[in-house]
Amino acid sequence: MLSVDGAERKLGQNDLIVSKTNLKGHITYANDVFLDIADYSLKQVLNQPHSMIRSEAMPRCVFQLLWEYLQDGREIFAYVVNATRKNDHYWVFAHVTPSTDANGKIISYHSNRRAPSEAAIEAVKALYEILLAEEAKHSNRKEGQKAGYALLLKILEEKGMSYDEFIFSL
Amino acid sequence: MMNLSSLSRAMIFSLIAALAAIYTVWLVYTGGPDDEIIIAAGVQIAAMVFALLSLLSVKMFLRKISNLSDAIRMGDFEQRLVLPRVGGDMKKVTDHLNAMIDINDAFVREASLALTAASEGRFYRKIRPEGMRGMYLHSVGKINGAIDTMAEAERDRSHMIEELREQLGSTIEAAIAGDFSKRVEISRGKDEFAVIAKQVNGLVETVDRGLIATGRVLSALAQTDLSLRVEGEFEGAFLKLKEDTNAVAGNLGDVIGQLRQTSGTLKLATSEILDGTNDLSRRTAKQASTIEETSTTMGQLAVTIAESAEQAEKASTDSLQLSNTAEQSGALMAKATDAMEQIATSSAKISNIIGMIDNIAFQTNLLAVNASLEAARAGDAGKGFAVVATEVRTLAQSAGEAAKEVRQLVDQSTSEVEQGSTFVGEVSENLSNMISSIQKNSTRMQGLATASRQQASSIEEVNIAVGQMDEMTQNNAALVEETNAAIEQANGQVTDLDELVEGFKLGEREPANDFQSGDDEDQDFQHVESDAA
Ligand SMILES: Cc1cc2nc3c(=O)[nH]c(=O)nc-3n(C[C@H](O)[C@H](O)[C@H](O)COP(=O)(O)O)c2cc1C
Repeated sequence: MLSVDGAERKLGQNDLIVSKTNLKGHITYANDVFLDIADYSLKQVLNQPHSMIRSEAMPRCVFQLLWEYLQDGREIFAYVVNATRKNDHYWVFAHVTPSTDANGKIISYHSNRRAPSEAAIEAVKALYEILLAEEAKHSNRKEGQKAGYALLLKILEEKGMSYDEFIFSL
Repeated sequence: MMNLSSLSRAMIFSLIAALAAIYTVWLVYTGGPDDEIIIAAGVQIAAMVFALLSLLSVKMFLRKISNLSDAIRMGDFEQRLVLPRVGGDMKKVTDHLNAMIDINDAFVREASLALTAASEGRFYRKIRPEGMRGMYLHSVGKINGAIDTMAEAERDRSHMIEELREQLGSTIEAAIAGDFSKRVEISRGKDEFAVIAKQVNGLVETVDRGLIATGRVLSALAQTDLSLRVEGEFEGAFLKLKEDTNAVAGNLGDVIGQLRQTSGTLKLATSEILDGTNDLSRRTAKQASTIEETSTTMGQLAVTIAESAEQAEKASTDSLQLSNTAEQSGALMAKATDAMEQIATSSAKISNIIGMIDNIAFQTNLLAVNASLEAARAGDAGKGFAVVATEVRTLAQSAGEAAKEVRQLVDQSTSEVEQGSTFVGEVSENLSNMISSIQKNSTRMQGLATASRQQASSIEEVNIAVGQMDEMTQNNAALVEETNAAIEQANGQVTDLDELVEGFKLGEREPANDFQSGDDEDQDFQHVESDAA
């Protein structure tokens, strides 16, 4: 089973974690729910890269997919586990979208996160474990990410589903 | 201090200022010491300044809220209050305001993206209800419901299209494969699909009807029934097909009618020709056999003549030999005459010898009689001798008799020799006569042989000529036979044609009436021929 550092924190059913970043992925806004669960003050997170809450249990290839979607102007859903300041963790169902100006140009990114179902977390854990293991096979970070990405695509192809379909099927 | 908002601070400073003011007033009124009054007034002023500053920041906060509200009102959900230093009630207000915008932002993003996805057929991407409450949750339910309906409609539509596609596919495929019996059947569905189905069915129906109607006539034509015609209302290409098919049937009928006459006439002609050739054949055969007979006879004649030539030659040779032999005979005759004279001489000598033998036999007999007498006297001792004496007597007697017979014979032969001599003389004369006539004969025979040989070679030539004639006649006969066979075949074919033509069932129409002239006729005729072949 995927091992995640620290204790698990649970997001409330009605909670909505919101954050916004600039085009580089640096945090420009985080709501109080975000700060509460991650145990940071607004000051501590503003202008920091969003990877500051990245958990070691997250395969890098998932973020590669995320950035590809975003830069393509598409929305993406992802089950993500994040790390708190004290290295506890919490699972979210993230919906990341680009924000555009009136001309359709991407000006920033936005992320809403809601409480994921237990069943979905279990399924995603199994998937992430495989992807992480694949990535760990390579000492080079980039190579590992590439291999994990290829494996993810292969798994999806075997399922005969797009990534989005797969996520919504959970 | 940090956790207090500017507003709280303004209130506290105002309170401090108020208390300081009251104290100052009280000090002035009771005539308190001046320095105390100054301190109190100072505190009051300071507190008021702080309160003012705090109020200023509250005012700025309110302006920010006002600006933000404006932005939100304008639909700009990117804006938030990002105030890391704000605390207390104002932080609460900030958080609540942000949370309000957050939920709007989230709802709008979700709703528009979910609808976009639905419009692209990704119906699985619905709005996630987590975090949505109240009217938001209600609207999410409504929108998701609408997406479900869209999905169902789309599913229905795609099922319909699939069904229509399948139905169209199988109907059209069947039609391509030549089966026009299939129809597009749609169980349920929208009018537009029903219209397409109806139109396709109409198309297939028209083709089917046209093909069945023409097919009926064509298969009747194929079965030599020319009486049927394509009936019914048709348009366009099928009208043309109908008219053409009927024209084909009509023209074919005319052609067959004409053909019937022609084949009747033809049949008569060929059978007459056949009679003629049969006759010719018979005559030729007869001629051939006559020639053959002649040839055989000539052959035999040649053989016979050759034989007779040979015979004549042989006869000539034989007569030459004969004359030789006769001449030799003449010589032999002379020798015979000599021999005969010698025989006469010898006979006389034999007569003398026989006289002597006779005498000896007599003497012997006497001696034997005496001996028997002597033996009788001797009794038993002479018995054996008596037997011998008797034998000797018998021998002597037979010798005497033999001698008598010989004498007779010799006498006879002597007379015969004399006759023979005479005869030989005559024969000799005859022989020489014969020889001369044989020689004449032989010469004639030689002539005959030569003539025969000449005759034989002439006959041989004639025979060769007859042989050639025979061969030619034979060839002639073969040719006649072949001609005969060909004509018989032709006759058979004409009969077949006649039967074939008779086999056609014609319509009411009189043939030759609308019979076209010239090239068309030939063309049509060819069609009929190739069909019948
Ligand atoms: C709007 C937005 C929200 C994001 N939220 C998270 C998050 O919650 N957790 C996280 O690990 N990464 C998040 N990321 C991705 C990070 O930017 C980063 O790509 C990721 O943490 C991987 O780190 P790395 O790029 O340093 O490998 C977010 C990115 C964007 C644009």
